[in-house]
Order: sequence, then structure tokens, then C-alpha cells
Amino acid sequence: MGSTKKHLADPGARPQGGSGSSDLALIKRVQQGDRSAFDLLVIKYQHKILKLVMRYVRDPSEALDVTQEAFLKAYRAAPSFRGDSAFYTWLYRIAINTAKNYLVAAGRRPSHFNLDLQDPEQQDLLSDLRELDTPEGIAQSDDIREVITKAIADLPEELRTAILLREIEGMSYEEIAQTMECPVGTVRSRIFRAREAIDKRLGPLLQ
Amino acid sequence: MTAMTEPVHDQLSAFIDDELSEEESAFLVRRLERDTAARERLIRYSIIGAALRGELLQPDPLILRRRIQAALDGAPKAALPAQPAARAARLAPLRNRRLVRPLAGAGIAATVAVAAIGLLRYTGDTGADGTVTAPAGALTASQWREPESYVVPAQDATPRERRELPIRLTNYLVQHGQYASHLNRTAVHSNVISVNHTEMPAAPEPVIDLEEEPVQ
Amino acid sequence: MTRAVEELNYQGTFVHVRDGTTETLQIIHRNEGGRVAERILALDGAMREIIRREDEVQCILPDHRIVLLEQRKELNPLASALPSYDAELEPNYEIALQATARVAKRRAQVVAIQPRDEFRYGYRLWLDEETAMPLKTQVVDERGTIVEQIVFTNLDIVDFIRPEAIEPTTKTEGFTWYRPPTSTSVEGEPAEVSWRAAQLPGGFRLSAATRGLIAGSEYPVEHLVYSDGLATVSVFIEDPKTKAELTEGFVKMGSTNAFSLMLRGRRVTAIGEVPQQTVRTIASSLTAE
Repeated sequence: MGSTKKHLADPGARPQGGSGSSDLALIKRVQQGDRSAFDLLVIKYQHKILKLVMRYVRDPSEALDVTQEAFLKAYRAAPSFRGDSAFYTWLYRIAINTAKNYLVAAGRRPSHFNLDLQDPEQQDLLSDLRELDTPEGIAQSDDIREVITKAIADLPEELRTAILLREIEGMSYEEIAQTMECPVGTVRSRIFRAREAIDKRLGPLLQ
Repeated sequence: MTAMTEPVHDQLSAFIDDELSEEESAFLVRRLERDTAARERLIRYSIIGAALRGELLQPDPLILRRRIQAALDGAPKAALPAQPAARAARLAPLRNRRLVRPLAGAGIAATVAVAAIGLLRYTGDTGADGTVTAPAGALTASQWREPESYVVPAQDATPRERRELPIRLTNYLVQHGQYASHLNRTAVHSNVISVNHTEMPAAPEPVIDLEEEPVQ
Repeated sequence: MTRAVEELNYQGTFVHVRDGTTETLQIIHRNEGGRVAERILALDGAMREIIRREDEVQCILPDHRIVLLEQRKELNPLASALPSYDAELEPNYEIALQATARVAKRRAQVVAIQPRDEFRYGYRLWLDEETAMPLKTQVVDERGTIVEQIVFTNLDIVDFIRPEAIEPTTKTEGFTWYRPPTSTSVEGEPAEVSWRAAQLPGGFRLSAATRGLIAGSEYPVEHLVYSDGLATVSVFIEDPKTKAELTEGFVKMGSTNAFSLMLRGRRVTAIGEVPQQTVRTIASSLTAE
């Protein structure tokens, strides 16, 4: 999973914040039967988990099915989540197991999938989803990406750097603070301001 | 609900990065339960991240979430503690209140069937303005005869929600759709730019030649 | 020459949005020598599949093991009274071409249909420049809010679609099949309607009138259809013997509004994709001729 996995899967690596407390707060609510809290976890991790699953299940529509199943399993298993590991680590394992089980089952109908574990870094995996007949959204991803790319380009440099270190490098605020030689509070503020600026343009698109 | 203030935006941003303390997180999660604007903002923040990492699902960034939601909607409720009525009502607009309406816009003539499927997740409550927005019914008694209604049981409907049960209205709507669909969307729309609509043999030839309309 | 929506062969995915909910559907539309067939598959939510072959519509609901069947007559004779769109629209709507835009990777001409009063909704249409197929439609209420929206997210217009593509993906063996009552008029009774709306918002005219059984009705129901060429309002008048089920007042479902009241011992309900005041005005003004 590269650096993203390291940070998310190993909360101990984060000296401050990033302790998985957001997820913990959410999963506690889920355990109390709050489905909207689970929805937030889905929102947060759907992209990552799908990407993970697509390493195993190459067909985009099947990968979607498997990812969905993984989340449903996680939902059903939520009461048994004890917090021994970070939520994402736990979800990650469920997703991998679901994908592997799927491949075993799909072995009976080999024409429907294409297993190629030798080549996990498929840059175009996600763009394959383009071919899916699972559609839609009022705003489409192409438009969204375009707007976001432009908005990022227009950001003041310190905001742009902060959000890119966070979103792309997966750094914690503390790590970004060290990299950018500024206080953690400043990092938090910069990332927030960057998001606000992007959101201003993204919001109307998603209305 | 009070208008969302910037500090909450800032918290949302830190929350999605998992940089809030446990207490703050718990507080925010409770807030997110009732603050739909904040939820939407959180969704947008997550979309921003996904887009930057090239993880954005194509063509709909939220397709998975929708599918998971839908799957959970169909899951047996018994597994969960009963929802407070207020929350159930709040969730209704998001998940359950499907308009009972023919899908005319895609070149589909409205059909009884289409109207009926629209009802599947259409459970009711009383809207904020006091209007009833409701039908959720059931195919009563034996399923081996002509339907008394096209309403199909909604899985989540509770007795309370069924209270209003204007099955009659649903049947009206189905009947209405047979007329409305020809006029209302596809037909009209395509006719508007001079396209014959084969399903409308009775309709006169086009209609409005937009070439002659003032162009803005 | 432009081709009709029905005449094309196409497959695509569209999203139907209303009341804050989104529904995604896949459509495959086939026209072979004028024989139209169509398959619509709900991609999210409960599994639903609709197969339309010319005049027969099957709606398959696998979760409920149900098939709803409708014999759909190619427009019934009453429909011949459907109004024309030309001059009739003009007093009630202002139609304007707007910018061009891209929808579902296709170029579209945006058309705005603005109501001239508050008795009807407005529409915005994104029409495919090549085929005039509506790629996106919005229904806009009197406050300017989009109350309903349909957007194609991908659309392939093709020369030919294999017949198998229209076959249901669901096996329906063992499912319960429902057929609604088919008649629009009651045996032995003249199918004439004696009620009319005395007060109509400008431009609305009676376009159809029928009397007969509808699903769930024990006694014949009178059904009037009023249209201004774009919007349609149905009025249903129940037989006095029918037990009133609806309470008086408004019911709102996305862009559809209904208003129900008792008039001379009969339940009268107006319903249509129009603002509330339109259904109320029409329903309240009903008189027996």
C-alpha cells in the first residue's frame, strides 16, 4: 500500500493526532447501530479499498462488487471490532480476504476474471471503470477532476504543498510540519484553507 | 439548525485526516449525524483527496457508497437497535423517499411497472411543511390474484409509516402516468426540436422550430 | 433528418434525481424495423428490471419474486385528443436556446422552457445535437429549485443491438405474475364523463376523459386529463360508493403534487407535475355537467 498504508495502518507512527480517533469514534457509533457513521467510513475509504481490491480482481465491475461485499462484511462484523488494530488495517484485511475468496470462487468460472498478480501496478485500473455501465452522478468524475486540478493550480504555494503532502504522500500533520518547517497548527490551517478553496469550486458542481 | 461556521469546516478537514482528538472526533461524529451540510462537505473533502490520488471512481465518484447504502437499506433491520423516529424521518429524504413517477426522460414510455418500482423504497413521513409525503403499502392478502394496488411492500416500512397509506393515490399516479409520459418529458422534449416521436402517432408534427426562436 | 428517440438504437446509463435521492438506471433500447424493445435495469438499490417489448411491459422485482405485467396499448383512442405543442405552448412558456454543453461526452444544445406564470414548472433540456435525444432534463419549480433531474452519464447510439441484449437477466421461474385490470371503460355502462373543471389555469385544456376501473377500484373512476401542451394534470373522481381513503389536502412527491378533497360526496383528486396551487385550483373547481 505504500506510504498511505503505512500511515493509516500504523497509527502508532503518528506522534500527534492521526491516532485513528476519527475512525474509532465512527466505529463506536456503528457498533451502536448508527448506519450513518458507517456511511462516513465508506465515504472515507471506498476509493482506497477499491484500489486495493483491484490488485486482485481486475475486472472493474467485479472489483466493485467485491469491494461492496467487503464493506458489508465489515459492517456486519463491526460489533466484533475491538480496536486492537486501526480500523483501516482491519478493513484492509477484510477486503483482501474477500477478494481472495472471490478469486477462489471465481475459479469455477475463469472467463469472468483475469488474475494477474504479477502486475499489480495498473495505472489504468481505475480508468477502466470508465467502461462500466455503473454510471452517473450529476457531476461526473472527469468534470470533478478538472475542477480540482484547476483549483489546486490556483492555490498559493504553501497551501498547495500542504494538501499535496497530505493527500498524495499520505503524510501526517506532524510530518508535514517537519517538512515545511512550520507548526502543526499551521499545517492544519493550510490544509483546511486549501480544501475550502477547492471546495468553493467543487461545491456548485456537486449540487 | 444553526448555520455551519468555519471552525466546523476546519474540524471536518482535520477529521478526515484523522488528526482530531478522540473527544473532538466523538463530538463531530454526533454533529455529523444531524448536520447534512457538514456531511456533504466531508464527502466533498473525500472526493478532493481521491481525485488528487487518482482514485476517483469513474464515472461516478460515489457509486460504491450508493451501492453500499442501498445494500444496507435492504439488510434486515433486526440486526440494529431501533432507530429513533426523528432520525428515521431525517434519513427518509436521503434513502427512502423515492418519487413515484414514470421515468419518461430516457425515451421510456411511462408504465405501470415503472411507477411500481418507484414505490419500492418509498416510505412515508410527514414533511416539514405539513404535507403528507407518503405511500408505502403492501400487496395485501393473497399474492395470487390481481393486485389491489401496484404498491410493493417496502421492506423498511414500519406500521407507523404505513399509517397514511394512500394506495389510492399510487394507483392514480400510475393511471396518470400513461397520459403524462407522452406529453411530459421525452415526447415533449424531443418534439421541441422537431423530432417525430413514433409513440405519439396522434401528436401533430413538430411542434416548435427552435431556429425561429430568439437565441440568447 | 433527425431521428426520433424511439427510432434510435442506443444503450446508456442515466441518473434520475429527485428529492435528494439518486437512482441509476441502465437502458438498452432496440428498434428493429419499427419494433421497439427496451430493457431498463436499476443499478443501485433493490434489484429491478423492466423489459418493454412493443406494447408489453414486464417489471421484474427479484427480491419480491414478482413480475408486474402491463399490456400497454399503443395510444388509446382517447389520446387522440392530446394537444398540439405549437401555438398552444407559446402563451404559457417562453422557449429559448441557450448555450451548448457537453453531457455524457456528447455535444448538447441547452433549451430553456420558462413558464410565463406560476401554475407550471419550467424545464431545461440538454438535447443531443446529433439526434435530439434529451441527454439531460431538469424540472424547475416556481422558486427556481430543480425538483427533478435526469442525466445520461453515458450514451452509445449504435446501428444495431442484438436481440439478446433485451432479454431479462433475471430468471423469473416461480415468480408471481400480476396483471392489472386492462379495461378503461366498464362493460354495459357508457364511458362518458360528466365532470369538468370550471376553473383552469391559462392554457390548460381537457385532453382526455375516461371512466372505468383502475387498479384497486371497485367502482368506476372518472379520469380527466388536462394539459397545457407540456404539463399534465389528471383529475380522478371516485364513485360515491367508494370508501374515502385519502384525506383532504396536499400530497407532494418530488415534482408531482396532488390535491384531494370531497365534492358532493365524491372524492376528487388532482395530480400532476405542476405546482401545488395548480392541482388545488383544478380540483376545487370541479363541477358536474
